Amino acid sequence: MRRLCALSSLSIALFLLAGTAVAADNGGRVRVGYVVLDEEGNLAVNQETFNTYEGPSLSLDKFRYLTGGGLNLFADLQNITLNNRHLRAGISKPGRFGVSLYHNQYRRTYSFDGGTFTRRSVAGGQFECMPLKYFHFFGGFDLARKHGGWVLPYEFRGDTTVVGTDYTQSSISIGAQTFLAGGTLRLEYRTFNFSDELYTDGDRDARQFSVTAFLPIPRYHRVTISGGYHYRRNRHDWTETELVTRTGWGGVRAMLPLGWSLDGRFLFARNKHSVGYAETDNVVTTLAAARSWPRWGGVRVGYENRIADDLIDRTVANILMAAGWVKPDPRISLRGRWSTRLKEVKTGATLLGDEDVTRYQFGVRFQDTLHGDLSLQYQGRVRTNDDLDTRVEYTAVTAAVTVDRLRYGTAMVTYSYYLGTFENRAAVAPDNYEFSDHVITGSLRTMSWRHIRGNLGGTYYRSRRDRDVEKFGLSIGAEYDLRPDLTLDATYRAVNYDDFLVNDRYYTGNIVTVNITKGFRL
Amino acid sequence: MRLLRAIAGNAAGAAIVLVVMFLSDSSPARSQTTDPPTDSTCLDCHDGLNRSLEPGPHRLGSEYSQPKIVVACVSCHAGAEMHVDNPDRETITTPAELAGHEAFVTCTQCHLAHIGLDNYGFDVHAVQEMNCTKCHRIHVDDKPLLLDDRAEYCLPCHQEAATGFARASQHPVFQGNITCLSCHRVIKRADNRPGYDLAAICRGCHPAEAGPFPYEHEAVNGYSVAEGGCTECHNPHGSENDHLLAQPTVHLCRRCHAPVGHITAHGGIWADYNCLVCHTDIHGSFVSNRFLDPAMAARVGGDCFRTGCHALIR
Repeated sequence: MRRLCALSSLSIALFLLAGTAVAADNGGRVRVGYVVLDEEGNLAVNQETFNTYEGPSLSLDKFRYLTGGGLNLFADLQNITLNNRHLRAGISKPGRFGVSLYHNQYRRTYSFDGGTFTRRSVAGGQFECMPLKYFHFFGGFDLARKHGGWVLPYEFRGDTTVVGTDYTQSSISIGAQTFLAGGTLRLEYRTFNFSDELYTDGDRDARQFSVTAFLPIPRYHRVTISGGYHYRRNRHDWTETELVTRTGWGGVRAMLPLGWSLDGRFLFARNKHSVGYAETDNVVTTLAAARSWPRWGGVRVGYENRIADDLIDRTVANILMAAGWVKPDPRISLRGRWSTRLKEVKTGATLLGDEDVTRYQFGVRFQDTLHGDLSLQYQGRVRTNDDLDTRVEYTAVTAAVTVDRLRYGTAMVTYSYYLGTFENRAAVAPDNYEFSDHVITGSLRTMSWRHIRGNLGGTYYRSRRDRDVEKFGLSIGAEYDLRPDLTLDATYRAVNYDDFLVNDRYYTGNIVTVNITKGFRL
Repeated sequence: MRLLRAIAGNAAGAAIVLVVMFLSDSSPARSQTTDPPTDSTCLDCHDGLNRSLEPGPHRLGSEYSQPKIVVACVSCHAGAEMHVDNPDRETITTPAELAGHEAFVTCTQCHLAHIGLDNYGFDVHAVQEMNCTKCHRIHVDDKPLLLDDRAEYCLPCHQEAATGFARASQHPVFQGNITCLSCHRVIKRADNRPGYDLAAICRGCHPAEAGPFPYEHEAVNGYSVAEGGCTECHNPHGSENDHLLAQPTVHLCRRCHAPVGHITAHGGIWADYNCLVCHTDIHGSFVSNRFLDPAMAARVGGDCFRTGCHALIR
């Protein structure tokens, strides 16, 4: 509440500064409205409405105040009076300093009647200042709190054991960055503190320090070298155990003639846990070469090697990657990427064993600046674990059409089809799982006609095979300009969810929002 | 830049220029015109366009020393001299409408681009000629230079992710509570990844699950040789299952575990239970190497794991 008051006070202070305004468009929009919420069914199953509250709402939209000296104040305070508030405010002067504050919160519901829920709130602030031309300080703090109760996902059993949660994580950071000869050096120190009010056994903290540097090689500025070091120490209070991570990395990139470029990167991380004296090393080496033909195409291929070694178990992964694009016409682009990773257990025996993962994605897009876009994407991933005798295959096809006629408005339709297949062949009782999803989304927004603008949107979702879920959302809205700076808008939104395999997993929600928005200038 | 375009068709000339650029100082190539139009000339026709630059670092007249530059309309828009005489759309360049490479050349006059710096891994954004203006809006008006509250920069290309957020369980991106950039580090990927694990990203919001724990579920910890992480079990964009799980929980656990005893013991009474009924601390535990609920004895009506048949299992 105090954070809310602080930010609200800041917004009021912005108004008080009106007397020194110089820019003609200083100002913002004040929005006052009311949300009506009518729900029926299981409140735990529809996440779109988890964070919707009924009641009067007050917002300050995109307030900006610019002084003649270049001082820029901004505020965007959404739903100040409701529990799903989302607030941002700050003051800055480009090239000199900047301070910003934010706060937002939302909830998740876990029980049929909505009585069991968790609320997460996040607040923080950032600052930066540049006392010298080539040097700036920065820092900030974050505070994340989650509290309430949640229900373990006992699907198909109907069990409802509520688990309480109430924790706070705070983080403070401070650092400095300098810019020299086209390069940069950055230092940052950050602390974390996790405090659990219900289970103090879980209290822990962390300290981390990082340094990062980039530097073009003098006289050979087409070659850039880079490197960094990262140290983090996690400490668990109750058991007095520690996990210490040290990471060092370096890289080089050379931009060669004729559109060629070469990349190399090396990373070494050592993680040492004080329990059982476990120690894991991760070593990653990446090499890539690229060739580009400006305006019409490019291709890049790479190789990566990853080694993970914890003194007992050792795995080695070899990865091949390729990507490319071609633009045969300024309006048509084709893109694709592919990678495959083969991870082998060289010594020891890990939980997952040998693993083979392949990912791919191909897309084509037609863009016309006057009429709209048409695109088609195909992507998938396949993962097999031979030792476990399992296979996961996941495929998605997406098509999107956007029609953009400036005289009338914009329409967009997207269709996606997903197919997921999980084969757990080694289980005592062979246990396969499949789903296929269809998702259709669409929106229509009209241009202003006699001071009226309309919008229509909807999403239809259908999940089949081992799940049988249907849900949809529909939104209809209109805006009417009472005066150039005064707008009345109303939106009706309907949300429906049905799981046809489980009786109590159904939900219907109707939400009506009415706002009146007043623009103002200072 | 125009000079470069003019000789693009001449391979020998281009090679010479590239060699010279390679061996010499990389100070940005600039238009060599002697008398470019002033900002006031541009604003005579484009009245008010300067206001959209005022909140950000591209405010007209801003002076920067590294590199030495005073921001003006002609800093980004080439061809202004011809445009003054012939104010046609075709006579002036707009970076947002340029091919990726050409926009990149414009922006890197002053900026060290991400693709030349710390994306040493294999980032698809670096190779597919992304135009800088796909993500950064220069005439920002009432929007910051880059702030993707509604994922409007990312989702037009990442449509599979966009429809993923329409699923039954999803992260609150459309609700505005988080953005794509909350999780995805498009730039500086090599930074802030302690231990080379994905949990470094997730723990910012989910510290209770991220550990570290004295007893850790191997699948959760990317720094272990199992090379897993949160996405071993969760689909972060959206899932048809609760808690973003890739499969309903029993199926998910059976991908790696084949617990014979659970199916045969007690007349098979446990076979149909969800694994998390007992293994509540599945991400990691402070007391149990099987991630069992510390209060389970009270829940199941007997102290099976302290004094009963399963006492050897902590």
